Amino acid sequence: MLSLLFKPKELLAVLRLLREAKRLGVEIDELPPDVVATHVLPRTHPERYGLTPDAEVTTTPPIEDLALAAVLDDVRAGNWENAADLVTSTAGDWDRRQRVVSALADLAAKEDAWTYSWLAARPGDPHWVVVHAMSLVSLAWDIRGSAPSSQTTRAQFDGFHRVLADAREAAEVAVSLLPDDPTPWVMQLMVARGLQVPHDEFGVLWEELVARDPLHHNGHLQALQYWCRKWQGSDELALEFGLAAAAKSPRFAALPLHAAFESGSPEMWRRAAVVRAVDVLVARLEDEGADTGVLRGDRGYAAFGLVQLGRYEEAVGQFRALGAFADGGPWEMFEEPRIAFLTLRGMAVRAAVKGKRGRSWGGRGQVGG
Amino acid sequence: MRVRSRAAFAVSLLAGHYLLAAGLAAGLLAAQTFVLITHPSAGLLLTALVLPALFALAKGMAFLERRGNHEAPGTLVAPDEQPALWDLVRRLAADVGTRPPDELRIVGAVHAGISEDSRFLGLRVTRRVMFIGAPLLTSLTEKQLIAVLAHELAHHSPADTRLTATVVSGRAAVLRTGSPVDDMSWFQRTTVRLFRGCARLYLRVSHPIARRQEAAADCFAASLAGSSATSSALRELPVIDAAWQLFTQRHLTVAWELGYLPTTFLDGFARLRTSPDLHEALEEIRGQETDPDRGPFDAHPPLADRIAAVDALDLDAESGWGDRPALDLLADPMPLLDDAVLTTLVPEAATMHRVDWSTLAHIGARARVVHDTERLLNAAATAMDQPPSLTTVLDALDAGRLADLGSGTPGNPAAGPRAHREMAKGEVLPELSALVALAFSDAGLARWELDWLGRTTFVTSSRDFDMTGHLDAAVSGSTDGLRGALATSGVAADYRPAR
Repeated sequence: MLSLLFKPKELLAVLRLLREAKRLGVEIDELPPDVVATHVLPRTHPERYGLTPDAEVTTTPPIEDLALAAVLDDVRAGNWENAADLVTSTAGDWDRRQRVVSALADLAAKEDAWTYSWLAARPGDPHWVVVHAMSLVSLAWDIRGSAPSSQTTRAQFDGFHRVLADAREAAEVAVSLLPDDPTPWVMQLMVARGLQVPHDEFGVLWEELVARDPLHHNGHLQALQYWCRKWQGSDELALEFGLAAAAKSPRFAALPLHAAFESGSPEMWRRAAVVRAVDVLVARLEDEGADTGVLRGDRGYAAFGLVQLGRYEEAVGQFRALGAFADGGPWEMFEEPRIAFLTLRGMAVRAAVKGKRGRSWGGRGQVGG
Repeated sequence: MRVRSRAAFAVSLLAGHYLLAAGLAAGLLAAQTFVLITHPSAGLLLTALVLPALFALAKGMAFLERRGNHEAPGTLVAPDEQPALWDLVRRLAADVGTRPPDELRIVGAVHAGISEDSRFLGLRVTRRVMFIGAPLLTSLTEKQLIAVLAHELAHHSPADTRLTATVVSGRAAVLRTGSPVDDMSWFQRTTVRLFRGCARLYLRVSHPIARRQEAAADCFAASLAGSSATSSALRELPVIDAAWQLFTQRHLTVAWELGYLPTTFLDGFARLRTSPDLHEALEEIRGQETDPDRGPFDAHPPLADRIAAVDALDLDAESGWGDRPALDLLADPMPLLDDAVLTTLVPEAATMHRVDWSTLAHIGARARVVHDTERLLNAAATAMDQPPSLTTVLDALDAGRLADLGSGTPGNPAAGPRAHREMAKGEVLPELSALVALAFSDAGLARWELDWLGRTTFVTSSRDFDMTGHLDAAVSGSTDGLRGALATSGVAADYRPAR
């Protein structure tokens, strides 16, 4: 607290927060994040720079797949038939199938009664098995949560591991029913990460996936997570994987940035290979919009990387393209995605205005994280 | 510093405690007298200060002196009750050249030693008691026991220098006096704190003497019992210690909280020692030569060094000592050893229920299982607003209240009811399984058994006890199978474990 005396701006913010906390009758650390944000975020008048005002920024993505949005509503209303048909129709369009199966599985992980109606009406439906297996993966992660292991309880870990084992079994059944479908192999990669299998065992599963779809988008994201330090890899292995993927296809241009982000180290961002990857990604995004979740994710990582490299004006450009949408990566990696987005955007705008070109923020540690 | 001069210095430190106190008292009195004569009125005032000070000094010295005179633990054995053991101890004392103990006591601990009631912090010894641990008597050979006892007696041998024996007695007295006691008053605590400063100096000065004494005592032991019996005894002590800890923690006191002890003690320890389950673990300890933690002021050299030194002496045993079990020295040993263990436990032990080993294991295991089911029974009672019983748990499951029977929450705050149910399932299944096992056990259809490693197994007489399928079904939506199996076995529907 005393050190704040030498930082008048921070001190004023704390005093404002104390007053707000008193007004709401709570402790200062119990204030809702949104309230804290309005008092401590940089005041930058985003609209002057062609950016969406802070208040309009949202983590809810625009509807991208009308058919998927419709079947999700159907399922919430208790009708599973259209959902089942949609899953069946996605065979061959593996990236979309992954999105549809994941979205339905996330719903089933919350409440699964509708899946049993589906099973009862269409016993032996292989697509049911795929959704069921994926819902177990999703359920396992709901039980574990995303807290670091030191803040995860014994019971949460036990449930996580138990349900992952069930998920693995279900995915194996799905593989036997739909041998060409890469979707169960993506699940196997997620299970393998959760159960922290050794590298060679993971490699076998990876080969099975790329044999079915060499450029499976989500499959590559899942594998990158496995290679991160916090799971079974290291900063080096993750970057190696990200660079190899980027070399394979422009659609994976953001993966080296994912690796740098996961490392949490400012030095990583300044590596020549990462700087080059940022350049390649920014150049590729020039001709693109921000209509899909995948594109917004790529832009989010580009914006984050550009701020890390002190290229604030370019970062502001990425935020301008993102508009109001703070969905997806890297914001979803933070506890408060929207505030992470606004904080980084505010910093980029301020620094761009002051013209602090070429000075890295890296020395102050990772922004917002 | 040479041993003799160091010993003299150490002894003078002991005496110093008393000289310091006496000098302080004499000085105070002299000053008081002087002031009384020259300024009678001021002298009277001073008396009010000096008298309490003298009183405090006297009380402090008396307190330091009195501690250590407490009831000795263990079972006293008279020479006419155990002539062979007494003969051995007397003969060893004579060989070592010290006077035999006045008392022999058997204790329920892995320990052998001599304790002395001493006056003036060990400067004068009044009564010498030798303690021998019951587990040593059941585990060592006669020669190994001789090595252990000779080592202890040698600590009090005057053969080296007369002062070093005093130094050893002094170290014991100083360590005892400086150790904290629960119910000390403020004054006593202060006295002990002041004393500790001097005590630390004394212990440091005397440490090399004590260490030299340990080596000399090992040498005495080897010259009487032979090098091989002495080093094998040194190797055996950590093994006996580990086995005794396992025995007391997992077996002897397995139903202690419920007020139960086994009918006999040392027969169980003997069975544990020879159990094939334990053989490997004990062999590993034997190979490690680990040192026990004896506190910061312990003077024993590392065990591996002692064993090497003893082996290097390459001495043969004195003739006449045998390789028979040490237990053969005792007449009717088991009742004596069991009594020693009982008197070493807290006094309540004497009034506890005594049951055979297998009953004890069952009672102990059952109590743990009862404890493991309490959470589930209470959660079901709360959820259903019914008395806590097996039926209430099954009714709660049938009513779709599984999530309410668990206590954990999923890590994702946005997790749905399915995640809550799944977490509850992981918690409820083992507890329900325990509850069903208890119901079978209390119906006389099953019991828990304990092996000597301390592992519990559930043993049932009915061949079709495998409830896994029924239990899984019960937490997944259908209790019918489990209810049927319970009814067939004759378990009351409203079963509820008694404590």
